Amino acid sequence: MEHSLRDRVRAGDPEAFGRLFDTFAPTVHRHAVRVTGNWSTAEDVVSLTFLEAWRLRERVLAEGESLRPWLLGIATNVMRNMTRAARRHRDALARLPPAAPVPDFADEVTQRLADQEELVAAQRALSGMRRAEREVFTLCVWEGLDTAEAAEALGVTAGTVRVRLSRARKRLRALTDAERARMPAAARHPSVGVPTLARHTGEDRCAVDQCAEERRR
Amino acid sequence: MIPEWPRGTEYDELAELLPAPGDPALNPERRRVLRQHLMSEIGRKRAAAPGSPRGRRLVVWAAAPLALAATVVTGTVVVTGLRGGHEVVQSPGAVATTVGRPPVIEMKDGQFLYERRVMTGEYAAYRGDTRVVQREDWLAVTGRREGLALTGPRPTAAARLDPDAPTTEHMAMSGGADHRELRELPTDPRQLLAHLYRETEGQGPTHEEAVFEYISGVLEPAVLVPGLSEALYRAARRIPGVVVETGVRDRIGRTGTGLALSSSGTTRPALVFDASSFVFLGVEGTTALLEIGVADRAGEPPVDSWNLGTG
Repeated sequence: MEHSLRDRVRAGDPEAFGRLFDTFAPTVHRHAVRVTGNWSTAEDVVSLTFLEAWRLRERVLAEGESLRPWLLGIATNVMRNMTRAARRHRDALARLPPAAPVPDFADEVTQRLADQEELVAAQRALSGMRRAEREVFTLCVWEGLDTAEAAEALGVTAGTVRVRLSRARKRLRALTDAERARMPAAARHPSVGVPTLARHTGEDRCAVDQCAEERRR
Repeated sequence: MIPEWPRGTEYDELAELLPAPGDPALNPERRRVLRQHLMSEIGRKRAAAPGSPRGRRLVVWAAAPLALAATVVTGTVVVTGLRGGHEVVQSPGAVATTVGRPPVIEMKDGQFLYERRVMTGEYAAYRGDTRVVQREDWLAVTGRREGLALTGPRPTAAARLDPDAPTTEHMAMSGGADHRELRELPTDPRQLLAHLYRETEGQGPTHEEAVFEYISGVLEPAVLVPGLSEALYRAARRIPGVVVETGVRDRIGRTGTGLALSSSGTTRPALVFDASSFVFLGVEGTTALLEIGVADRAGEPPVDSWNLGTG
């Protein structure tokens, strides 16, 4: 199935792109929200990624498995330089109907607000990494690409992916240790070894915010 | 096969250190809008693509012809080594052509950068069956308005293509290098190269190729920015892996200094520069810049231009 989808994408079959969108738009969107921390930017990333996919369709290799690494690679490129991508597809973006300012469902608003706090915490941690490490980290750990797939997405070798992952781990470890050291013992997460940078719920949230304040000083 | 990363160790530890924030979902209504938008954009692009009847317009990215020539083509240059940016390959017997330095041509917002060049048929996105194609571009100086490109068989009697000739194809040009952005680039080669490395950080296949490709993409419009052609030439030859070759010919046989970067085992045709003024002449064997100037309106002859000669 995937095989023929590749051929049809390469040949510029609109139906294949429709299917590509149906299959991968949620993934690209989720990745973009997590990386940029911004819901409306993420929608532009989705549009630009698929417009770029159309432009670059002939570069899809005839052989291969899922097209997910290819699309996430394009999304990564788009996010590296949004201005350039937006300029390239200026006319197309101008024709994109703007999003409604407030989502229709109250539930969604609540969900977004909850996510927003996690996103802010994650953004803080991501900002402690270099871009190359951040890209490998988010693709491998958050989106679940293996090293070969991440290498394909980023146009680097699998060895490079491993090195960057390893650096990302060192940085995160240092960041977490620093954060723990500054945290009052009582506010620490009850169980040892459980993440402190994100997924804060309930009472420990304010302790983490306090830490962030301290880091900024 | 590349061995799998040992899951359960570093991946898990990383996920523990910084779990994925939530599971943000795309609103179904918005998803429908985005999908519909994509499908209508694809429809537009297909309607304008090669193979459709003359008169329908093809929307292409302005840097396409040159970028295509510099990236897709498999090469013909013989390269003797890839160690550094200073290796010179001598081609005995070739006498360098000199086109001189470009005059100062002022460009105002609202005007169009005009470029006329010849290229081999397969790089010109021309549908007709012609080996040598002339291509003329009008690119909005501010980059914000739609431009125009004409392609057709290289005229024998006149310099410019006849826009109304049945063999002339019209394409709308969206995008293009903003002339003001080019004027802001540093003209000191070291600073310029450092700037381009920053600008392309994280891009591939290698950082060197990304910088070289960036340079390839702006060489033509850079001709009219004082000092920029030479700065780009000098910056490009500092890129590790770039081979400098003398006596390289462009599409119309003008001879100059070539810069080539081999990638993934293949060598692309060299970019050809005037040996004394370092103005960009074309791509080895495939393209040649003939004239560059400024026009008031897309499709009209330039009001001021520099003729690089016909070799």
